Amino acid sequence: MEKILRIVLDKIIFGITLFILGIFMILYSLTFPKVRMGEKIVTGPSFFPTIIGTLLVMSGIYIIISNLLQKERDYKKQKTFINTSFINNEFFNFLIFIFFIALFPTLINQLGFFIGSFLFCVILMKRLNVSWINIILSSLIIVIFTWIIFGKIAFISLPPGAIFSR
Amino acid sequence: MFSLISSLFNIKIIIPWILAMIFGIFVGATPGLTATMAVALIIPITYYMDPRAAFAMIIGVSFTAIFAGDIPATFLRIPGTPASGAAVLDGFEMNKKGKAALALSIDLFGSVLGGLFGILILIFVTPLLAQFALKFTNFEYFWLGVFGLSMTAIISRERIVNGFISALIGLAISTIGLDITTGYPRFTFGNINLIGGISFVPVMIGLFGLSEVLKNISEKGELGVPTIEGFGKLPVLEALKIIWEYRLRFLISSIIGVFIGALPGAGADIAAWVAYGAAKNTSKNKNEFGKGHVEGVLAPTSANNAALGGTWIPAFVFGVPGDTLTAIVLGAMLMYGLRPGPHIFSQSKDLMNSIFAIGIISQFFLIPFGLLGIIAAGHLLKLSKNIVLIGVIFFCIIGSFAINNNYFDIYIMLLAGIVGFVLEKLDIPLSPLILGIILGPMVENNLRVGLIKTKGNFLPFITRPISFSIIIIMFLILFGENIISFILKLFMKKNHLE
Repeated sequence: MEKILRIVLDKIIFGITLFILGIFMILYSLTFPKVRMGEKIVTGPSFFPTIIGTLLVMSGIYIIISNLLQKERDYKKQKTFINTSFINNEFFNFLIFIFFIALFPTLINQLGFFIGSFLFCVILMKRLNVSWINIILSSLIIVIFTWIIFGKIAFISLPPGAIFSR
Repeated sequence: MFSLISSLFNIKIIIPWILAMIFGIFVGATPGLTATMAVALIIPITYYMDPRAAFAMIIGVSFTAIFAGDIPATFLRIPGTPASGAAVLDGFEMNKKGKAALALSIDLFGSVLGGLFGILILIFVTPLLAQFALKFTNFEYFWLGVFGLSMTAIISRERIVNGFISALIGLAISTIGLDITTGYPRFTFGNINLIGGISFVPVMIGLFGLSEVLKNISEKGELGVPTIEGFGKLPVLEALKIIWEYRLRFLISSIIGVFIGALPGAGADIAAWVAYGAAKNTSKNKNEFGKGHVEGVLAPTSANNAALGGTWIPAFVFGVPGDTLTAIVLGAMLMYGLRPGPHIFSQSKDLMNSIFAIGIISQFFLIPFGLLGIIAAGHLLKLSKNIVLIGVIFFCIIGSFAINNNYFDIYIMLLAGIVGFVLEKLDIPLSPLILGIILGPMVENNLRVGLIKTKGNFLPFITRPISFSIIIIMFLILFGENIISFILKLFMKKNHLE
């Protein structure tokens, strides 16, 4: 029963998310201005989002109802998204990686491309238990190679770092 | 003719040509750097060169960059260029089975032959195809967009509802930004970074690349093993045999590529997806698509390179570019004194013939450079997986940043990666989402402009001959098999009863 609830729960949450997204699109589109040609109102900026929103609402309702009406034997065939050992080392890796990717722009803005990127690679490789020698070598190669391709060949402007700009 | 070709083998033309093709391999294989960017970077270098050397560089870099996008698509599930999005589906699955070398060999020779096909069509059929392409108006472009979206049903055949939902999410994302008809900002919430809409490349990198990395690090299992094992010699002969075995598939995909490439605004990425969808639906092995089937590799790769030849058709004859890349090249053509239009073939006959010869020779040059690119990438990925994963994340981040030099795109890539991770856990396919983002603007804009022209009447969308033909073709591709089996059953029942 617990497993069934877990299987249903992730799909129902998804269905509810689609439903809410669709409703939001429809309601927000109502705030878009109408377009007139003479006296007639023609298709404006709200036309397409309203259609997509409506279809999302219908899809959300379909997902919710179809999962609630599923028979027990069909549940057993499905994969579970949320499993009992979800909170584990791998899950923390997942969170840490997302955190550092989100932090990356701040890191390179403050420390500059080279130092910020090097630190980024070192921290994440250490998290994946790479040996120190490999961490240093690989991080250097990755950063230098990226600098050559993007900075020198593609002329992408890479930040020098706030601490070095003062 | 022989003197024309031999004049191209001049050191002042050959050296820049070769260097441009090597540059194309680097750029195409690097997620975040596109073929369009490669061409844009090459053009300033060509200002003071012989026009033939300039066009050799431009054409050379285009074809190699489009092919090279298949390399990370196969090895890492990150398309190097948007045109390689469809290559991920079966190419990466073949990699998981230890057949990356075969997949990339098929990619390479499919690209070479597809490119040759596109150039030959360009040479012989240009005036006819250009006339046909000009007849496409808003109504036809709308149905072309819908046709492209209907490929989602084929790509996700076993999970049609899930595929439909994925496409809807993509269409919803495509509505973010300035409304093209009225200029009104939609769903931007005052954020200036969203005025131009959601940039497609960071979404693609996040959905396919970052989500795969997140999947690897969040699952139990050895991370220290090499990313690919046993990458040895390239099975060139085996790849050629496979292409010969599926020569009809190659031909159909290349025709689709040239046709869609010839439609202004369509381009190689749409051509690749449509070719993949058509291949999946008409193949005898349709159940093997998405699991590492060779046809799933051959179809998009031949279509996207053939499409390059197609994009030049409206560019040469009418001065209307087939895609963004050709738009940049048109600018270069004006710089070299070429005047695109019906008289280009008479006024600049020698240069046009040189351009055609360069196009053909570039396909043969693609073979050694493509092989070197594949071998280099293959050896690089013999490193342990945890180092490669960090390298991939880093390239995802910098690649996303490089598109618009905007940190906001990194957050878009991150969000797309998380969404991709979650959607895959829920068994929702990702490819329809990408198709929705690419085709959403085409479908919406042409629908709205068409409805404005017809004052709200939808009938002309159906009654125009080309529109009607597209609807019939779409219907046949989607339901043709069911219709034929139904008719056969009826026929057999009738005969049995008699």
